[in-house]
Amino acid sequence: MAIECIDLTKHYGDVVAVDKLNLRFEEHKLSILIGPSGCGKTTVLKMLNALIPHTGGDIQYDGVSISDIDPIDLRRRIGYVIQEIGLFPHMTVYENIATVPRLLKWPEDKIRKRVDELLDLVNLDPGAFKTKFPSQVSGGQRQRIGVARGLAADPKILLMDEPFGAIDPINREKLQDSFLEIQRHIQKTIIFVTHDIREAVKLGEKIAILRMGKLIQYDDTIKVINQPENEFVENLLGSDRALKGLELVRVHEIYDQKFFFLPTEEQLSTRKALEMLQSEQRSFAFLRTPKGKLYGYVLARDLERDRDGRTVDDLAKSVETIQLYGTLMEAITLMVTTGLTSVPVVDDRNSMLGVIRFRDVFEKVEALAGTGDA
Amino acid sequence: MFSYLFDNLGYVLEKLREHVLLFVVSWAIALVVGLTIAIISTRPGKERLGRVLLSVTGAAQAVPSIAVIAIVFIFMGIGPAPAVFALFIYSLVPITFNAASGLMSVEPALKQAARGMGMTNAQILFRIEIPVSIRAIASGARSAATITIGAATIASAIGAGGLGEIIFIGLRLIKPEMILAGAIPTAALAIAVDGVLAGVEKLVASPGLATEEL
Repeated sequence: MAIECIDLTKHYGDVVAVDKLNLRFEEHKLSILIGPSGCGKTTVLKMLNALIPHTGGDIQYDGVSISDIDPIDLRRRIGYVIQEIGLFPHMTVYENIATVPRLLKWPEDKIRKRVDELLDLVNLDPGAFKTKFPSQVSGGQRQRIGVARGLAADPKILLMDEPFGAIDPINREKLQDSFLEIQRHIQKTIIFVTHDIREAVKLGEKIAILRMGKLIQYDDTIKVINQPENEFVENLLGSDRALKGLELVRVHEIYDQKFFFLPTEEQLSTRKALEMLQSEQRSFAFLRTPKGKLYGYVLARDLERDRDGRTVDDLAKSVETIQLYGTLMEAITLMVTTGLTSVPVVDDRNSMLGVIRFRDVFEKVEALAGTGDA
Repeated sequence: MFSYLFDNLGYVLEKLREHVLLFVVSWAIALVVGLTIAIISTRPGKERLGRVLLSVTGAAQAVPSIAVIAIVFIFMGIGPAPAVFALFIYSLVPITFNAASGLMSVEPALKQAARGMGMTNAQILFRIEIPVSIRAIASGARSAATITIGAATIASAIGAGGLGEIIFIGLRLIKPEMILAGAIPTAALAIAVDGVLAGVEKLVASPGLATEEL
C-alpha cells in the first residue's frame, strides 16, 4: 500500500511542527524519516496512524484520504513498533503478540499458528518464549517480540519509531541485521524513524531528511550520499560520508574481470613461472586448481629469491576472497588487514571471477566524496 | 476471660452480623464510587484533575475516623444510615487515592502502544490500565476494608450497632471480658477479610507483574 503525504501540516497553536510535507512512501520499501530532534519526524509518523491529528493537507492510502478511514480500523491494519516497545507486562509473550489478531477477532487456532510463525521469524524459539512474561526476557528479545507484535496481523504497512534506539550498540547491529533479513522476506512498506544516520544508511532504501518541520531531501539512499541537497544534509551525513557510501556499493559494481593466472600445470618450476610473470610485467599471480578453484597466489619476489628449485605450489600463499555481493567496506577492510592491494572476487563455489583493486575502490571513495573532479 | 463471649454467643453473633453489614455496604459502595472517580480523573486531558484528586485524598487520609463520624452525626443524626455514610466516606479515600495513583503511574508507552495498535479507549482501560495497576487498586481496597472494619466499631456511638456496641458497653461497665468479646471478633473479622482479599488479589493480578517487582 502506497502512502502519500500531500501538503501535510501540523500546527500546535502558532508553532508549526510539520510544514507542507509532500512525500510518497513507496510500496514494499523501507523508507527512513531522519532529522535532529524537533524536526517533526515522530509527529509525521504519528499522523500516519492518526495518533496525532493533522491540521492541514492530507494523507492518502492508495488514494483514500485518512479522513475517510476510521482511525481504529486504520491502526489495526498498520503495524506499530515504538522505542519503548511497550510490551504489556501483565500479558505473556503469546498474548502480547496476539493483541491485534484478537482485536480483529481471529479464531484462536489461527492466532496460535501465527504467533509460532512470527516467533520463528524473529529467531525466538516459540516453545520457550510463548509463556514467558516480558519481565523474564532480555532487552534485545523484547525488541524482537515488539517487532513480531507489530507484524502480527500481517499488516501491509509497518511504522517504526526508533525501534532499536534503546538497545546497546552491539545488539543494535545484530537486531538491524536480522531485521534487514526479515524485511527481505516480508517486503512490507516500512516507515522507520531514526536520528542515527548510520542506521538510516544501513536500513533505508529511501531517506527523507527533515529539518524544523520541512522536508530537505527525499531520495534513494545512495543518491542522498552522492548528492546531498545542501550543507545541512552533508553535515548530517558527517565527514565520513564517503565511507558510509562504501556500505552501499557492492563489489560486482566495480570489480575487474581481467586478472592473471599461472597455467595450472603440475610441478611448474619457479624459473618458468618467473619468466611468465616478468614477460607480463606482473608482481604476482593467482593460482587455481585444474577445476578452476582459487587456492592462493604467488609473488614474483619470492620466485626470484628461490634457489632451491622448489615448485610454485611450495611458495604459494593462501588468499582471502570476497564475493560478488560483498560491500566495498568489506573489501577495503580485507585489503587493510591482509596488506593486499587486490582481493580476488569469487562466486559461492570459490571459482574466481575477477579482482577488486584498491585504486578502483579509492576512485569510488573520491567520487562519493565529490573530490574526484574538483 | 472469654466467658462473656461464650455465654452471650447469640448476642455477639447478632452484633457481628450488623458489623459485617455496616462494613460490606459502605465498602462496596466506596469501591464502586472510588474506582469511578479514579478512572474519570485519570482519563487523557484530565491530568490536572487527577493531581488535585491525589492531593485532596492524600490529605484526607489523615483525618481521624471519629471526626468523620462526628461530622456526619451533626448533619444526619443517629442510626445505621449515617454510620454507613460516614464509613463510605472514610473508605472512599484510600480506595480512590490508591486506584488513581496506580492508574496514573501506568507507563505512557503502554498506552501509546495500545492506542497505536487500534485499541479503543475502553479497551485500553480494561485490558491494559486496570490490569497493570491492579496491585495498587487492590491495596487500596484492602486497606479500606481493614480501616472500615475498625472504624465501624466507633459507628456504634451513633447508634448503628455492630461489635463496637459490645466494646463501648464493656468500657462503661469496666468489664474486660465484654470488651474482649467485642474486640476479638472485630480483629478476627479484619484479619479474615484481609486474607480473603489477598487471595482475590493473587487470583486477578498477573504473575507477569509479580516477577517485575523482583
